[in-house]
Amino acid sequence: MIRPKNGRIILDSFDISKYEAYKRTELGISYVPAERELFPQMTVIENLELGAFTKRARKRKEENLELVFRLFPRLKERKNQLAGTMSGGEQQMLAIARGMMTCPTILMLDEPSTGLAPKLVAELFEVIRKITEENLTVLLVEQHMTQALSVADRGYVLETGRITLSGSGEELLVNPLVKQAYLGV
Amino acid sequence: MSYIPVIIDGIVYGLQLSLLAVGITLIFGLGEILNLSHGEFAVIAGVTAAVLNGVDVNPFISALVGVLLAGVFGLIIEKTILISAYKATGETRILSGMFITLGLGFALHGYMANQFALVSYSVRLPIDTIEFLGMVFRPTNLVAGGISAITLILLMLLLKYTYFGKAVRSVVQNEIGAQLCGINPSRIRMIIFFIGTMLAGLAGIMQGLSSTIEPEVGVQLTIFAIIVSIVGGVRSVTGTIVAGILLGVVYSLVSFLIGTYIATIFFLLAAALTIVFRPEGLLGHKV
Repeated sequence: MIRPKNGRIILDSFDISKYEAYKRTELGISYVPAERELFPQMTVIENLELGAFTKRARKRKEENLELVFRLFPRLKERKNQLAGTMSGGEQQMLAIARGMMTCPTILMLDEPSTGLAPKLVAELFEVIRKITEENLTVLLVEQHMTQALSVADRGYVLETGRITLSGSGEELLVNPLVKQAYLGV
Repeated sequence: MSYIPVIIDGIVYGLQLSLLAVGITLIFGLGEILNLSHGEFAVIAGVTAAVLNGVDVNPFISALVGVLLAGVFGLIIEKTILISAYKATGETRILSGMFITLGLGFALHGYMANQFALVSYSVRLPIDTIEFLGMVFRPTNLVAGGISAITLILLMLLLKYTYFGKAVRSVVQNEIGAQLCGINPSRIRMIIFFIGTMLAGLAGIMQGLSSTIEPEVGVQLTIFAIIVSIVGGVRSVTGTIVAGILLGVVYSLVSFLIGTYIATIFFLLAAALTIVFRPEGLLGHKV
């Protein structure tokens, strides 16, 4: 984990800058990295069960399991398959599902579309839209600008580490500066 | 027919090796610490239990005290001198872990050899040998084998089905992933070091029960345990257990037919062949 050089990370008015990664999960931040970081030699269901490791998440394991199986029916079909043997798209779905099993208040998705075929990307954004309807805040970092903004309530444009533009998803979609920033012209 | 008792002896010995080696496998798999003092924990527990048993303490209580002593001592080591190794990463961690535990091994070996006379210690149960179909079995040997087997089965069930066991496997497979699930890897490593050193202790006591244990045998136990762990696949508990039993039987047969020295060479040969032909071990990377 990289510690901030300056500035602080605040969650529900708590300073969590110095908290270790596992502690942050306990407090309700779920991070789904682009690398997915699954347990390759374990089955889909074991991966999901581990998502519900914390005491808080364990209490709601059954209902969360039902929720992620509703969002990702393919995971239910494949629940006894080893995670390492699944396709890239399925692994991404599993990573997001495992993140949701931790019972988060914020779900952070880091470039979830990395390495996915266009058809799967569309599918993925459809699921992200559904997740936002589940009373859960999603923080999404994406390169697929148009699709990301169309599922977002608010958007922020980051340029070399600084927020240069922000606004509602719809506003940004039509803002020519966004496109400029995106293309780097 | 006369081979059967030799094979049974081998299985019992192999189970003891497995008890020792699963600790090496788990501790290495979780934290990349190759515990070169592992065998000394077996000696601590074995000699403690034998000495207590020698002054007429109930054998089960003696064993319990020995196992707990090994485990608590393991915990203290994990929380003190190993901290600097855990702070490092990659190759540095592996190397410093080896140097620290090697030093610890020398220290413990020196202490045990100094404090306790260089004689054979054993734990005795109040039962005699049994004859069955004309063959002589030592019941203490069978008791030792039974206890070892049950312990290993319980360990495997623990790893396979409990939340704790799944957390252990998750840290072995992907430490970052484990943290993302809210699992604290340092805590898991600590508990496994405790369990691993207790299992080593139990192995020492079982050796004292089925034959004898000597204060100076720690180094040999460490080396054998590492070989079993390599042959079984350094990250596979099931593989380690299978390798332990196999090598135990081979060792016992070769000792019986040729001699102990040759049997030791067979051990090393098995490790060398594994590294050449199946570097991932008998059962590969499964945990």
